[in-house]
Amino acid sequence: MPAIGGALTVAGVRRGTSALRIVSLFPSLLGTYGDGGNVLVLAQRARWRGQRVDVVSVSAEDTIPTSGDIYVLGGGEDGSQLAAMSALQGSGREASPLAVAVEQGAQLLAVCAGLQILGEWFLDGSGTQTPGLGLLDLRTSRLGRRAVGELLADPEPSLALPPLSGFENHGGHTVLGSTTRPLATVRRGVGNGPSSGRARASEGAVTDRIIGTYLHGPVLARNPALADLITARALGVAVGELEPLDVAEHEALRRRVNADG
Amino acid sequence: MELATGDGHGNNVQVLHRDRLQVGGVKALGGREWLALLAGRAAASASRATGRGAGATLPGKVAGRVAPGLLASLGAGRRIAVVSGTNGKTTTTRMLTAALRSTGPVLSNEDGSNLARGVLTALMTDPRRRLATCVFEVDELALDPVAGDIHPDLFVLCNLSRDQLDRMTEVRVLVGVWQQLLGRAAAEAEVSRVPAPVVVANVDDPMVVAAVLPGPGSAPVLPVIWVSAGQPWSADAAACPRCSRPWDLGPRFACRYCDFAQPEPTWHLAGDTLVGPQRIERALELSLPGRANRANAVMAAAAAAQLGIPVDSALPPMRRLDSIGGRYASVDVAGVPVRLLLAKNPAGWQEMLALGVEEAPPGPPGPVVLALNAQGPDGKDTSWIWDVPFEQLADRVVYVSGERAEDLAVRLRYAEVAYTLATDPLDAVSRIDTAALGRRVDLLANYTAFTALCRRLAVP
Repeated sequence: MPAIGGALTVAGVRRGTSALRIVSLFPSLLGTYGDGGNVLVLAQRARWRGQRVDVVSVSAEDTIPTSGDIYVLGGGEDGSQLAAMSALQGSGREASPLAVAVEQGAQLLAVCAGLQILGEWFLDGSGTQTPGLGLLDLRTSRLGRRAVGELLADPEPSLALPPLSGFENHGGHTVLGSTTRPLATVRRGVGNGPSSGRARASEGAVTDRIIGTYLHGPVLARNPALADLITARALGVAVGELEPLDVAEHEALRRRVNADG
Repeated sequence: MELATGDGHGNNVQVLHRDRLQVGGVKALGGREWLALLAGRAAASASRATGRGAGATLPGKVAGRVAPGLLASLGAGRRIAVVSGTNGKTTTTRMLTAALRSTGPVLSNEDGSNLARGVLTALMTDPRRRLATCVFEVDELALDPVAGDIHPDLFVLCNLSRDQLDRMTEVRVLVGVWQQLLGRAAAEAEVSRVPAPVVVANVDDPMVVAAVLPGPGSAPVLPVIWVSAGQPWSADAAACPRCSRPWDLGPRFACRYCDFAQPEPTWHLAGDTLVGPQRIERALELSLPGRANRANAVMAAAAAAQLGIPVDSALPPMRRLDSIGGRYASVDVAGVPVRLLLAKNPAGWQEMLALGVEEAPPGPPGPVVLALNAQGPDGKDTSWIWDVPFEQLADRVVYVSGERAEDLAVRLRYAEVAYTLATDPLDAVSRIDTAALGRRVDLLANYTAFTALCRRLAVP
């Protein structure tokens, strides 16, 4: 579909770069739960559509580029989360490069520990409160009991996504601020954890530039439509304008997940 | 406190002082404990009679409930080595046991039942404590309670990496557990005024080193023999295990923020050559394949030397091992030569995939059939398959099977590895035309998939 290539080129030109730049933030620190797969899914789907892709892996000692199109944060252990948080803060009084990139219009996918980092603060396993980046209006304390298991959730209707599935494994209880939209509503599992005034728990958080979730699997391997939503937003096109990909494996996996109940 | 040092020849060595046999106290079994032994045996017979098999853990499970102190009682008065770590503990245990048997009988949980009840089941086979020397494989998390009961004289610590995160625990938590238990063992020895137990530890794994060197400083909590056994898996050591600040994990590690650094090894490998103290240099020449088994062998040889077995006595029985509970076994499946491989976690899968490449004669390596399950013992979350470099399979014939075949299929699609989905791993084997390929098939499975295959193939 040449129109798609055209759209990509337009987006690329608009952004001053012809390749889709995917920035993998601290893949070794925040890669405990296989979340590195999210970067591979985003990159391969773009390549299969004929898009040139640059994947930039940023370690905690590197300078974080602000020119990326999509930033990806994964889950990790408490110590790694603190190391990642300190690396994200930027130096001195300057704003975090990640906040700058999002401000400039970049997309950000943040999973588990990554989601918690984006909030106002989070408690680690020892009960110490650490300030987050404040990109999302949410706070994370601790669940009474660690949430471990399959998670199934119905996405925020305006996202027009099929149900989201994945595996959660976290001790965080995330409470969303009154203006923060959840990514989804939990059908099975724990997600953000119990919230007062809601019959069903929320899962993750979403803005027009940020997707935060507790889902591993990795989440984009389990939910390719979410990968395409992020890509379309990064390119400034509608999801429907992306060339459809025939990856039959996803359909077979969806059937497997449904059959396992 | 005397420091035990091994020269690898068994000569003039301070070998685990006899006084250590007093740790915990040796006394005759009480009435309740004999009752527990009988109860455990009765449960095993009943289970056998109903066709469910005796199990390698049932007697210990039952007896441990009847007399919770039985593990400590039966462990007292023996010389005990424990082997723990994420990968290689069954093989290292078998190698060390084989080496020690060159001089006399050894009690071991060789079937790999590595929780407290498995260790107790093994000890219950010798209630009168006739076998003085024991080698036990112990699960990483179970090491703390088990060591608290049986007071090992030697800790063999192989490696630590992510494994079944839904039911185990994160690697750094395990490091903390090990630090505590080694510290407690040191304190107990001091209070009892006996020589401290000795640690044989993989110096190439920052997580193992952190458990032995809790810091600050570089003084180990117990006397330690450092062994360079390698650790190709580095993904769990992205930050310094002592201060959590990021570091570059080079060929040798040293944190520039705190004083955590890699010690000098006493034993190491140079290719296939085992290099030890006092100019020991011996070709390993194992029957078992691959880097991971050479690593297991150098750990076992160093541990054996520490227990007084010279390397020339230790190596021959280790070389003869060619299959460990079905792992690496060669079987014939309807005329097709197959090698069984077990890998339970991403580090293990990485080692087993590398094995095919390492051994390949000129030309592409042979076909591989993958079988992935996600039952309780496997861990229910298979996200970790995205940490495994399946891209390496690009030039091999690949079949995918198991309860989570669909998850693997997605992973392989994104790795751009062509594969065939099979409902059954043995069915996949029978579909491979190895006559045309002239190569054996590697069948690589995770835990429950592997044990199911062993049962069907009557292996071992």
